[in-house]
Amino acid sequence: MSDWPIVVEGGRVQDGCADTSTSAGTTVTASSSTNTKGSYVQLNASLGFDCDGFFLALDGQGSTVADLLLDLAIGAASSELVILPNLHVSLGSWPIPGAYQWWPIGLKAGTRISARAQSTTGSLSVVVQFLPVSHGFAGLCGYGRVTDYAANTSDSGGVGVDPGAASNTLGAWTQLTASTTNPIRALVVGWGDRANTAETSANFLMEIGVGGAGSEKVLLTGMRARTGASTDTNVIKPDLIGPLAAEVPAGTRLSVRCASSTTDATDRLIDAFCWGID
Amino acid sequence: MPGSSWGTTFSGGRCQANVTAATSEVGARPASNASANTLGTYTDVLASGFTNDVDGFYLQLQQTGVGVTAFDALCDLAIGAGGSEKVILSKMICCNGGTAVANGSYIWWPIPIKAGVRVAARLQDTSGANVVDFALIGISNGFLAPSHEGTAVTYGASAATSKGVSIDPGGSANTKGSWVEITSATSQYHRYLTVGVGNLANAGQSASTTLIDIGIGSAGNEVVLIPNIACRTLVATTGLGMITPNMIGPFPVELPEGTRLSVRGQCSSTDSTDRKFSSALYGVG
Repeated sequence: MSDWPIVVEGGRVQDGCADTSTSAGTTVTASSSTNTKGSYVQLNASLGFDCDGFFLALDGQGSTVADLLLDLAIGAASSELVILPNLHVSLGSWPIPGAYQWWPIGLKAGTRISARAQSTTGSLSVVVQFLPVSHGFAGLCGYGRVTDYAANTSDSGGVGVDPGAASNTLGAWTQLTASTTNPIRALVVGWGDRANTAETSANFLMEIGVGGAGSEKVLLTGMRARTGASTDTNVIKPDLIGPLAAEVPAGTRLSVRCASSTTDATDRLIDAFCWGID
Repeated sequence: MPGSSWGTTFSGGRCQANVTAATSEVGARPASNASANTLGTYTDVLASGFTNDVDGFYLQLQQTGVGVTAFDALCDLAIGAGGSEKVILSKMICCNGGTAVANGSYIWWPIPIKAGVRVAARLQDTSGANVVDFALIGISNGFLAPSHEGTAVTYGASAATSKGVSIDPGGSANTKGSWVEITSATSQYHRYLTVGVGNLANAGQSASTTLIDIGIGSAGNEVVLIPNIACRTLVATTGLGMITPNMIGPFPVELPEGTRLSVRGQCSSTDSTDRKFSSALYGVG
């Protein structure tokens, strides 16, 4: 007999926004004004089928060390609705693609997809590739909402975290949000290097905690990133990790702490990002 | 975590990892054999295993060396006691090209591992005596966990060369080249496919962009299964290059046993060496 599992049957992948004339994705350029969202760039005029989620890859461009935030939106031109807010990209000494990040967000056929960006230096850009995925009977989980809990649009960064002066030791907890606005089924976390132009190479570990100040409990652990020296890539990678399954009710306090292999007072500082999915 | 149902089938969620502050935020760092294209010895990733059963895991493979000569590595993840390891993920591609951070994607593998089972890793590479960092995050759920797939099968990675199958996009820029067979027939049913991309250890790589298609069907009748995966080759300041990302997926596709898999690409470069890349495919389920 056929195998009809509850959660998988079929499977279809569509090209979302490749530019075959350049063998790359679609370029989204930030506003010429720093830390100000630019105009929307259409990625896909009309999705060809209902999708249960999508892979999104962000390929930072140029040779300017900077932070960049990207919004992914749906809807007609001038009526865009942001569905993925403030995805962070660490821009370094040369173009470096990010991972193909899975977002379990369902989108209807016919939906227009667009993106806009802001950065700490105006007019920087990111190349976006978008691969929507659908299933047949029962499909995938297809959540509907992503909530940003850490981005700081005033500096195109996140929540600053100091691992402290002791190397390879988890620092103090830093609050991401006092109270989550929506329930969370999974979390995506992100790293930023605070546009540090004189970076040294170091390893970092991040933990996400829940609970009141002084009573935090570790929810997610073992998330690792590495910075490249200013003589090398001068970025932190990966930009994003997840989605990591985590059941967190609305109203929960979220916090973050990190450890680092460097004790340099500047280089050990990172930005943390956190998006809840439900 | 494509394919995971977190609706009716999800409850709870627990995260365990091998990267800690005590390991200097590194995880495990196995080394390849001093001889090229020869597997090194196993290194513990989790010596005592996870403390709870996990339903699947994220695995990050990240190169470590600034200024290290470009190499391609094939990495194995195994379970079991020392001397009795059983490989559960074989020949995963990880490129190194003189920059320490360009890769590092966390890839989801929907393969359960029991609590207390030792996890170990080993690798081989094109030049020998190199290392790759392994970071592992296990996810366990409560009632009715995400889909469990038991095995992963690697297609196209060669132990003899430490590379995937060489793909030539051809001499016309930004134009899809010919299909290249990765396997004539998948050995079992797969529910997911993860795509591996390598640099063919090209130490003189120039900057270019590449779009990759994964196809199914007989020779001359290929149909695109996964279109236009975008990758980029990097030129490090040391003149050593690489391609990234190295691993993309898993794509939730249904592939019956016996499926022919092929790959083609297009590249912005027409240089007869730099336009080429390698590919291996990993079927799960």
